[in-house]
Amino acid sequence: MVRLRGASVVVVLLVLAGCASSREKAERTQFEKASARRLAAAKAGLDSLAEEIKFRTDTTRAKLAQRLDSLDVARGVASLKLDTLKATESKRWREIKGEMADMLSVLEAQTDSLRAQLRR
Amino acid sequence: MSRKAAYLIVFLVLAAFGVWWLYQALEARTPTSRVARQVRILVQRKSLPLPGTSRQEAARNWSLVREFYQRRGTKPAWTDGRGPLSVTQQLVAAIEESGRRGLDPADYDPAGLTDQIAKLQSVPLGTPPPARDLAALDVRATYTYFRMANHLLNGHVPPRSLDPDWRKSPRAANLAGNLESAIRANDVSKAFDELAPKDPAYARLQQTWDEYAKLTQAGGWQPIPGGAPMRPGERSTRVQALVLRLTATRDLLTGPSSYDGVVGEAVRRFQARHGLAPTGLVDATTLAALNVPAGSRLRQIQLNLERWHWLPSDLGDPYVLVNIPDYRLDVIENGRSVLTMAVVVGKRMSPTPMFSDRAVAVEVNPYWNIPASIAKNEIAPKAAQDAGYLERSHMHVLSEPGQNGTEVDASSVAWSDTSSDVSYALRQDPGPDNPLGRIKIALPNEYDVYLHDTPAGQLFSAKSRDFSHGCIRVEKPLDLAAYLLRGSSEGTPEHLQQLIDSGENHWIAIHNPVPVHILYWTAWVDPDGTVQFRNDVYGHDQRLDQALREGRVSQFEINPQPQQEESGP
Repeated sequence: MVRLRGASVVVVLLVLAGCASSREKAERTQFEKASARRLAAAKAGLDSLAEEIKFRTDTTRAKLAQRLDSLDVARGVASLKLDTLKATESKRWREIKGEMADMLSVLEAQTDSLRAQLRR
Repeated sequence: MSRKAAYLIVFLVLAAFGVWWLYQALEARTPTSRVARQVRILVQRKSLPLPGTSRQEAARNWSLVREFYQRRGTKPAWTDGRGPLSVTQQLVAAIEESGRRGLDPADYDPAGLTDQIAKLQSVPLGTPPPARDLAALDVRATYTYFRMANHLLNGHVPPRSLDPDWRKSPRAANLAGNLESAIRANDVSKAFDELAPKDPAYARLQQTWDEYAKLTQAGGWQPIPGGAPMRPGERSTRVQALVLRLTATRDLLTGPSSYDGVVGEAVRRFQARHGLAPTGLVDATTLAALNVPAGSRLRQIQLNLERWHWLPSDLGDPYVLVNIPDYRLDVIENGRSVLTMAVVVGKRMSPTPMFSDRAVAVEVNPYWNIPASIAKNEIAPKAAQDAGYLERSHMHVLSEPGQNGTEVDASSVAWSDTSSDVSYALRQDPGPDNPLGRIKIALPNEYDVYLHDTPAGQLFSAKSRDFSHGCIRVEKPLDLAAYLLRGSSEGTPEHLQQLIDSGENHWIAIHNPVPVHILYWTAWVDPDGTVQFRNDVYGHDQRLDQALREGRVSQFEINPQPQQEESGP
């Protein structure tokens, strides 16, 4: 009886551990896919801004182009960070997830700001 | 075809078969073939006690042994059926000299190997030694060779066993091919040289190991008795001991009897070589460094030679080297430093990890995305005490870390609750308060460690500079950025200064990403031959020393399943 109880505790613990691990896996996959989507959207956004800047003839063109280049570099660095994130082990993943998300939000905010400046 | 011709063909075929059979029979009786047969028996055995620091290591080397003999049809490599070949003696010599390669000869049992060779050589002339014994020596020598070769290639101790955050780039080589070349060229030492790091700095450290080994064998140096700080003008028995000590390591070439200017200069030289303030006075810290025994310095050199084996084969050219114990960054071009600066590294409680990465971009006027641990432990208490702290520091509170980062009102956060995980993110705007300063060099590594400027420039004047949370603060960020961006119109110091002055966040790509190596050297030799020692700031030397001592050779059964031996003559 005691042995049976012990075995059932082990089974429950294994099930719980399995659930936790699959939940983590799902969170990781979801976050990485979302980040890749946000990066792709950022690229599309920057490409469209590049097209708009091409047709500018005023004095702000050089300045806008410089900001656009800067954002494209930031996007490239975020993309490398995502590659690192995907390859990293679980303990470290959680720690750098925040940095990845922050890089994306700064990139998105700055892209929005550039777009607003262009269309002003 | 006539019947006669058919008989002739059958006869010729039979004759050819007979010749082939006779050849095989004679060949099987040659001493080499007898040993080859015994080698085949040995390598087919699955249960064989072999030395190793772990079962995995023993199994990996054993699989190399099998691959090696399979490639040569189990033909012996170290013996010729009549006795051991000269390469066996070369292997013993290489083991005995392995200290200068950062290895410990005792790990490869040179005495046992020598005994085995001597026994086989003592067989009376005209009588070939037993094939079984020759095969045993052959397999043992091959196994020992691979064990040492693997240690030269990737080190004896996996760095992650000492520190889970220590990343190394495994070096690969065709070890079976390497041994084949050693046997063919009859040169074991050269083959080992091919596996060792090629950087001239490694060779310089090896030469220094030789010198310190000689010094240690000759008794090293005598400790200088303790007492008050020694100053110029002093004459005492302690000064005589100081002169002897400085002469032993060639900090001083002549031996004056008093503490004159020459001795003061030698003390300054010694202090500089040990990362101490070059005051020229022998205070307690300098005395402690002077009194480290020669044997301990020898061991320190050996530990650093071991670390060389953890590095990638090609460090790149140019590359950025950050040496933690030296609190210094150097840009190395063609083996020489072309740019050097002080750095501040992680505290002992939050050490900077060791890894290799690439500098891919420069961020001017960076934002600081504050890590959750710093937000919780350092910022939240300040925000709880002072409602205006965040605003004055140009920090923004964002909803849930890792999400879209919508800005929220700072007053909606319970700052005094530090019991649970943070449910917000903090970001600081670029500016004079930002701890990343005006320049950040992005390295896309998994630790979020980067090189950056700092508004706390006064810390660079400290001798020990372990103050950060793990990131590396650099003394001359503008010079470093300009170097990394050289050749780019955006990378001139003037343009970078303009961008800084604009106050706007700006990214510039480094079109040829430069390798960055964050390393831990407590002993190295400058290109001009100056031997440098530094303190073991994170205790990595101590842990490595212990691991090497504890990881003494054990016997492992490769696959402890009984298997019948192949029967043979």
